[in-house]
Amino acid sequence: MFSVALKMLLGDRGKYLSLVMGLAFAVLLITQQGSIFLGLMLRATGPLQNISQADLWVTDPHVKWVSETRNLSDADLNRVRSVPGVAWAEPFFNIRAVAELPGGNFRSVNIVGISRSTMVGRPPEMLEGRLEDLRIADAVIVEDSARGKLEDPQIGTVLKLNDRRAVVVGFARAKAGFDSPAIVFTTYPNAVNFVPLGRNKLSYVLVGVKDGVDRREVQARINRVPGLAALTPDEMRWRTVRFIMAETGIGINFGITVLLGFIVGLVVSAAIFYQFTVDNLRNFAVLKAMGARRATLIGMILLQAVVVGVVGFGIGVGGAGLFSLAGRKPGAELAVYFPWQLMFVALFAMVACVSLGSLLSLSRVLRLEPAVVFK
Amino acid sequence: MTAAAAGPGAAPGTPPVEPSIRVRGVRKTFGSAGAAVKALRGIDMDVLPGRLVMLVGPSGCGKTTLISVISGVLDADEGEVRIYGTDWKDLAQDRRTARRGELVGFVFQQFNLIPALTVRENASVPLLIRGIPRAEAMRRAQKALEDVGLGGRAGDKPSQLSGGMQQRVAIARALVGDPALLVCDEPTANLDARTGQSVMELIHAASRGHDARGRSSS
Repeated sequence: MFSVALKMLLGDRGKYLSLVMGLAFAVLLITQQGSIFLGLMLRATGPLQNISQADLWVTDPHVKWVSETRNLSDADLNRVRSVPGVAWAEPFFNIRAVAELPGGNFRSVNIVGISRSTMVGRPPEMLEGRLEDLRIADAVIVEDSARGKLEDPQIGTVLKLNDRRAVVVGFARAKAGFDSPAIVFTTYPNAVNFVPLGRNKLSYVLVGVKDGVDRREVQARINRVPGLAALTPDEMRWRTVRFIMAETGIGINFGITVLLGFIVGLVVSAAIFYQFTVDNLRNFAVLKAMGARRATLIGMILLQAVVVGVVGFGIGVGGAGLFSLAGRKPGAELAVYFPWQLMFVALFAMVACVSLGSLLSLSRVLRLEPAVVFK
Repeated sequence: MTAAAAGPGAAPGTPPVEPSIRVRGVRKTFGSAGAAVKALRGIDMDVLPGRLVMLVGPSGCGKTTLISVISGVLDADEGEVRIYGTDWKDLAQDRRTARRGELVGFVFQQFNLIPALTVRENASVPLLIRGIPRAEAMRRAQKALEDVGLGGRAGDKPSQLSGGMQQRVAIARALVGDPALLVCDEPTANLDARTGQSVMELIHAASRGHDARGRSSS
């Protein structure tokens, strides 16, 4: 009877397509908006992902997310270095500046200043040029996706950062920040030169913990220093995510879109599937009159629901996957992150939509009097 | 309502034959209170094996209700309906459904073919419901279609057939499972006189031994 159920489902092309597309749209909306939301979260924590060397990030205790800091002083750097268990502590500079471009335009850039001696905080992947050249006075390395924003500079191109000369010595690949600014890497002394800030110049102090020493213990010791807070990269990541979720409109806006997708999918799919069953009530009544038992009818309806669900889920996730491909290109402005767990969220949504539709349909079919075939 | 029977009766001096259908005191009312419609008011009826019985009466007199109760698709409010010794009331819902599938073949006024299935698939449905393998069900459905003169249209969809042809497919579907009882509800109501005549001949032949071959009405 399963072949009969499938033919009943596929025989009415219009209804079958509207059913599948309704479900696919709901899954697409949930997964695509979900992946953009996760992509934005991932992008917001970009600076954290670029730095793999640090065990702890030390900053002002009131810092809410990674890209908005209250700067520390050189004295704070020395205090951290004096904490027992600290193997090394290096300055990290992350601040905005204005780049004047050769064509006369200007652009806001994110200057990342890293330790000149140890290069802690360096970009994860060099594409052109040598990292060591960063030690040259006024040298900068441009993040690859910023080439277009900075009018396609080449090695040797001279830019102006806050009206100070900067020479491009290489290109690197790194994660962009939340609002995907153009990123330029330089050494901490160069960065301070580009953006004079007075006494408090440090965005973060990056800390490595000595081998064999408990990171939590070192973290607690730093936290006892007045005016300093040490966070693990994970803690910094979650602090950033919580800030974006709670203190920007992004969390609520995406949440509403995903919820709407779920509700629309739930209502539309359930309604269309139910309507499909209602349109086939006479056929189900005929089957019932001819001896089809409850289990057979339940099996038929569940099979139809599973087929519609799987096809709709496949199209929806496939569509979201195509969107995510656009975001995978290096330097893509579309922030997309599509972890496998997101598919399970969409799967849950699909199962909920299809279950509601099948339950409504089953309740109708099982209550159906086969005598209607004579009407 | 009156019942007209055709077919072999009991010859004088032969032992009494057990009726295949035995109806006693059957009552059925639709609706309640002031809006109640008494469709059946104490029907008694016996049908002997091999008989072709026609229920004749004006519209609304309860013919369809009676055959619905006899065929087990509708519960009587009161009374007893025994089909080949089985009282429908004694069977649980699922058992009754399965027994109905084994005993009864249906021909409806509206044909009630499933539009998405081919003619052969439609005719095979009662066998598929019983769990007979698809290949075997299709083979027997093809044979049943040939018996009603539609073997050459087995791959068509019902919408490609005339009303008379669709009713013959419905008859093939009703007979494919070799039912003991064939229940027809105004099987010629939607057909012209000539086509209706050929359908009645098929049904009459079926009552004589399921070896009917109708002539084309197209």
